Amino acid sequence: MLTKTLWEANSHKWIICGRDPEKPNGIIDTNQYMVRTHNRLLIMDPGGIELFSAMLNSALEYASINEITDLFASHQDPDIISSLGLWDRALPKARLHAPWLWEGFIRHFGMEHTEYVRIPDEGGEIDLGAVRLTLVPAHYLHSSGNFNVYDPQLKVLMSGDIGAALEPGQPPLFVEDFTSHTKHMEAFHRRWMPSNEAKQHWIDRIRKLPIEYMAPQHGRIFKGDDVKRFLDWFENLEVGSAIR
Amino acid sequence: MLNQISLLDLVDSFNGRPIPPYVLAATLATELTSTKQTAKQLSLCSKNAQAITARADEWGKGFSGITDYINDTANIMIELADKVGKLAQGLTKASVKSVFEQKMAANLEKLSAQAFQAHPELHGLTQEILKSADSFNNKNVEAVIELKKNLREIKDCNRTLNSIVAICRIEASRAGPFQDSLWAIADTIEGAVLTLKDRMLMGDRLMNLMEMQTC
Repeated sequence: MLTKTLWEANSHKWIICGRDPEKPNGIIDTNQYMVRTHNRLLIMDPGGIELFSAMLNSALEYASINEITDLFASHQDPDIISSLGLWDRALPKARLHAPWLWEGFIRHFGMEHTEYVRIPDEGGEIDLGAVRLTLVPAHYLHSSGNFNVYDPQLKVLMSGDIGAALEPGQPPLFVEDFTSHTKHMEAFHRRWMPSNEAKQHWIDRIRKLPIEYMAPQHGRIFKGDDVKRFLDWFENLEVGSAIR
Repeated sequence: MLNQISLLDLVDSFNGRPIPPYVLAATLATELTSTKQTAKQLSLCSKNAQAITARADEWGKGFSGITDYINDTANIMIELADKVGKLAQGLTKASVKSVFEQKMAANLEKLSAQAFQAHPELHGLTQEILKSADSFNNKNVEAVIELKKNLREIKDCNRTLNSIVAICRIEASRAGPFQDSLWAIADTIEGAVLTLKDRMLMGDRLMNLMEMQTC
C-alpha cells in the first residue's frame, strides 16, 4: 500500500494510505488519511476489512499501537469503517468519532473496547492536543449523517465521498487536468449524491473556508484553484439524477 | 521505533487483555524494516571503504581485504531482512483471517441443537471452518518458526560484523594518512552492529510475546 506524507506543520502531518496493489479485485479503491502529532495518530475513514492488514502496517510505520488514539468515520459505509471490529481489538485505548445518527448501525461492525464519540448534526471538533480539527457537516452527501474534516492550520479538507472519482488502475495522487478529470466524477456524483439542496448548503459552507487541498476518499486530491473549480463544477451539476 | 520501555507501555495499555497476534506481527514487521535500512547503510559503507582503500593504495591494503566481506555480509542481511518483513506481513494477514474463521466457528457453535438437527449440513460447515482456522494457525506457527530462523541468521551475521570491527580498527591504525577516514568507517560499522543488536532484541521480545499469547 502506498503510504506518503502529504502535508506537514510543526505540530502535525497528514499522511495518505491507498493505491494498494494487493487489494482484492472488485473492491473499490479508497484513500485513507492519517494525522500524526508528536504522540497521537488519528486514522480517518480507516477502510474495510480487506484493507485492514495493509492499513495496520502503514499506521505502525508512523506510530506505535498505543499511540493510535482516534478513529474517524465520516459515515457508516463498509468501505469507510467495516474494519472497526479488528481495530477495536487492536487498539488498547481508542475513540471513534462518528455521526450520532449511525451509532447503532456502526456498532454492528463490532465494538467492545472503543469509545463512540457521537458527532452532533451541527459538527464539532477532534482535539488531538497539538492540533484541533473541525468536523464540517456534509449531510446527504451522500450519507444522511455525514461529516468532512477540516484542518484550519494546513487548510486541508478531507471531503469523504465529495470529489470522489472512479478511475481504473493506479492514478496519480493529484488532479492534473481538472476538465478531463470531471469524466471520472460525474456519474458518481449524479448517482450517489441525492440532494441538490444539501449540495448547495455544503458548497455555501465550504466557500467560506480557506482551502488549499481537498482530499476525497476515492481518487485524486484537488489543490489550489482546482478546489474552486470543483465547487463551481459541483454547483452546476444536477445530482440525484442518474436514475429517472 | 519501540524500546524496552515503550514495549512495556504497549503491553500495559492493553490492561491484561491479550494483544491480538496481528498487532504483534505488524509491529514486528515495522520494527524489522529498519534492519534492512541499517544493512543497506552497511553495504554503502563498505563501498565507501573500498573507495578510500583504493585511494590509499599501499596504506589501505590491509583494510581492503575486509571490505568485500562487509559488503557480502550486508547483502545477506538485506536479503534476510526482506524475507523477515514479508513473513511478518504475511503473518499479519493470516492472523486476521484466522480471527475471522474463529469468530465464524464460534457463531456456528452457538446455533441451537434444533438448527443442527434440521440442517445436518451445518455440522459439515462448522467442521470445515474449524479446519480452516486450524490451517491458518498451523501456517502461522510455520511462519513464526521461519521468522525465528531468519532472525537467528541475521544475528549470526551481526556477530560476524562485530568481530570485524576490531580487525577494521587494527587495519585502520596501520593506514597512515588514511587512518581517520578508515577509523570513521569502523565507527559506522560498530554503530550499525549496535543498532541491529537492539532491533534483534526487540524482535525476540515481540516473538516471545507472540508465543506467550498463542499459548
